[in-house]
Amino acid sequence: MKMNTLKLLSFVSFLFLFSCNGIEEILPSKSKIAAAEDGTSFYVYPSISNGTFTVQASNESEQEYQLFVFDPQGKKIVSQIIPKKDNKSITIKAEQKGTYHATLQTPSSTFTRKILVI
Amino acid sequence: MKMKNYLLITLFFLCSIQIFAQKVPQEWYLDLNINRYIPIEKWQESGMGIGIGGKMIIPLTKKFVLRNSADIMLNTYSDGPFTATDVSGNALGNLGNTSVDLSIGLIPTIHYSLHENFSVGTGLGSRILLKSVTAYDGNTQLKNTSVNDYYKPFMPILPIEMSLKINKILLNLRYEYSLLNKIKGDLADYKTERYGIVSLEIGYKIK
Repeated sequence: MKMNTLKLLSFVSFLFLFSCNGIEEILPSKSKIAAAEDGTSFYVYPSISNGTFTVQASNESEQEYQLFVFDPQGKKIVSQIIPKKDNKSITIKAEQKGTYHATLQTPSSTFTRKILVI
Repeated sequence: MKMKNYLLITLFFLCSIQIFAQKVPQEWYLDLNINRYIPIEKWQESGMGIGIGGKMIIPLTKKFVLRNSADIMLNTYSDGPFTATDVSGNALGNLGNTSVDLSIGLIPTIHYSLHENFSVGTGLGSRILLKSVTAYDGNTQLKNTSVNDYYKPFMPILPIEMSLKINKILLNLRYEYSLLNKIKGDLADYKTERYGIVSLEIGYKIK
């Protein structure tokens, strides 16, 4: 029993230490920064900013979308409806440094983008 | 339940243990741990970390013991791809990144002895996030480090442990699962992050 227990713990420890690969490097992507869904696009730029950034989304569908922006504490600071076949472009002047989030909510999906204000 | 209430209950529980513990024999251990932070649904973005801590063990019956563990941990993980864009919206590529969390764990558990030196246990604990930062790679002229203020400071956790005691050494393998969404505020309605932490503690009996 003692040896079996030792073997079990050694085995689990071995799995824990050596089976995982560490943080994977994220390679540069050439893909466009858009959440394509029925021609819908969703952009934030610049994604690393000194204080001002723009969130842009277009809605090519027959349903309303919702666009939100959240401050670094996760508080909603912008909430707008994008009517069907319409688009919105919002420029935010950030009042504080940190990570902002922009979210586009469609009837079927939610897309989130980060913006660093440094 | 509000986080402050949860913390108060946990502290009350720990104080109760301490008062109870004054009347029964105890064992004290000093721990070093290595850990792996595993984002749920994004386990590929997990990373290794380290920590220190201690635990107090109080026998309840012949088979059951109460364990009161505390630790301070550094956890690392990736926060997912971050696409850099210029002022015109052109993609500059994806930046690799590493996030680091510094947290305190308060983890009371009940252990059941399957064998003289081997036990399994579970309980209900808290992890208190002291600081979370993300550093982004890349060759921009800006310092790409941000503080993650959108994470909850208190997280209730469900720990599952198994332990092996060898003389004065206590090896403890724990998996802890976050019971709530890590994201706080309004953002939590649209974005979910949950995690598990696997940690291997090597404890030395000091009392």
